[in-house]
Amino acid sequence: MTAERTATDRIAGPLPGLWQGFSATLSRDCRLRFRRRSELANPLIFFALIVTLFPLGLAPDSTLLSSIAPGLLWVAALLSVLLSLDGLFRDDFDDGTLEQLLLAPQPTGILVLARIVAHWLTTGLPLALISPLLAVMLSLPGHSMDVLMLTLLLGSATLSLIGAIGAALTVGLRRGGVLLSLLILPLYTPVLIFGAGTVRLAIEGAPVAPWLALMGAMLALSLLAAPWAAAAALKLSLDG
Amino acid sequence: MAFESLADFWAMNGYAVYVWPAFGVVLGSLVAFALYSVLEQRRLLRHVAALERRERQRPTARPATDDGETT
Amino acid sequence: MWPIIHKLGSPKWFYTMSGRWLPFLWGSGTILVVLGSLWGLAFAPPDYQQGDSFRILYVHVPAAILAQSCFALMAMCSLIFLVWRIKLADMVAGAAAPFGAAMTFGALFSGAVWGVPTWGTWWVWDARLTSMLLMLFLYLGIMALRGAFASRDGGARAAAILTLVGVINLPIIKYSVVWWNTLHQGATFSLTEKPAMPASMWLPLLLMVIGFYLLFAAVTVARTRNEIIRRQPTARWVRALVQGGRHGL
Repeated sequence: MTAERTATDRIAGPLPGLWQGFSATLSRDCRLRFRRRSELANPLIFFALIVTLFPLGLAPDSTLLSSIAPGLLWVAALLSVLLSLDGLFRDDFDDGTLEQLLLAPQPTGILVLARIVAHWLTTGLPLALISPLLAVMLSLPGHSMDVLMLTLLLGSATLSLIGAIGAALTVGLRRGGVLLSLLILPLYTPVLIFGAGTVRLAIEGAPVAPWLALMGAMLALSLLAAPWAAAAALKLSLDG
Repeated sequence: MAFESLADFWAMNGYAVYVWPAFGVVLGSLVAFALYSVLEQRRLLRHVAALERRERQRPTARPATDDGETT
Repeated sequence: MWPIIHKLGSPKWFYTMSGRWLPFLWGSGTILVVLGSLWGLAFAPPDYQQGDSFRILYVHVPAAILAQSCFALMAMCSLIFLVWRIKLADMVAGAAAPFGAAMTFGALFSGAVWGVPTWGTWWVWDARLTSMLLMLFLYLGIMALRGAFASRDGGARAAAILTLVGVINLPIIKYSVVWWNTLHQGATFSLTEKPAMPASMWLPLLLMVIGFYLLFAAVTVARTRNEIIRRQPTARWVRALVQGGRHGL
């Protein structure tokens, strides 16, 4: 009886709901990303490389390095996220999967949000997790490590969300890479400022809770607006 | 009048190097935009007139349309 | 309601109506800017602290105000274009962007030049200058994105979306830069916050600001008219315009 009903449901039943569409897109994207392990590691290697370049370019002086460490780690993380953005929609645009995404019965914004979450899980989250390792190399004071990780967790999610708008706007263009950074970097500045500033305050021992809350507010705002803007941008990229 | 003479005015009490370039760039860009938009209009209208002349020689080629939107 | 919107959105109606306003806009704007410049440069008393270098204020402040107003206008037009698909709104947004970028650059340049006598250096990471610089990058991004698309409609919609994202971000950028500036205890001396200016100083500034607004309107209208002709070179009314020789200004 139940088997019969599920069979008919599958044929004529209600369309898959919001949550089903979201989780299906999320799991598909995560699976695809984990299959390409080398691409998965690229942003992390890039992050580590930039952080390595700075002591070489400046001086191996630990007081100097620890004073610039918050900004340096944040700029490096921001650039790694930026580097990974072009792949957010590019492959699926080329093979036509993106059109299927727009034709799906669920609102496009929800499905785009699932892709952004998958992007964050494979770039922002690992970046935040390995950041203490690189922070030690830059002799960042130990008591600010947790704040650094927290700001990177909150901030990189905002970066993925804002970046998705830029990636969606430029996905139809042949040489969108440079343009993407021109569009997105000015919009990234508030996240950079609050992220690095909060870590610096934590080093000085000042209370950081209000600034973490502010970064949470930025994340909430971009969660509300960015998926829909990115969906509208995807639509026009496929029309054009 | 805040200055004694015209030479004083040009010298701006030693601040001429700062005051005049600032005014030059901002007011200059205003003048440039005004000139450019007027010249561009002349060019466009000449272009439309040329299109029409060409059409009159070949009357069937591209008739005028109501909205004339081209993309 | 709808007939009015359609009439307002009709390029032909806009072209004929704006032809009447345009000479007035050019004329009054030019007169006000010339009067304001002369008054500000020659007749306003020098500042007790900064001497004659404060006269840069008379171009710096109007340029900065116009840079922000221009972004606001572009955002409004982008919203109208995205919601109602009125092409005229997109033409206005496209016509205004380069002017806004030029005014932003003008405000930055005059601010940097002003910085030499007051701060002793060309560039200080002051909150106002920094947020202006970021706004210039936003303007350049919007213009570059519009140009990058092969289809006109694609570029227009992309630029409109980016403009709206930018206008939501601008206050956040501004606030974050101010916070960052206080964090560093940088330059506390601000260029434009002055204790109670006398009328002989702020009246010419008022003239300049109004004059800049009028010229901004004139440039935007003139560039929009050019864009209309560029997009519809074969429309009947454009033909009639060329034959009748009523070019307007």
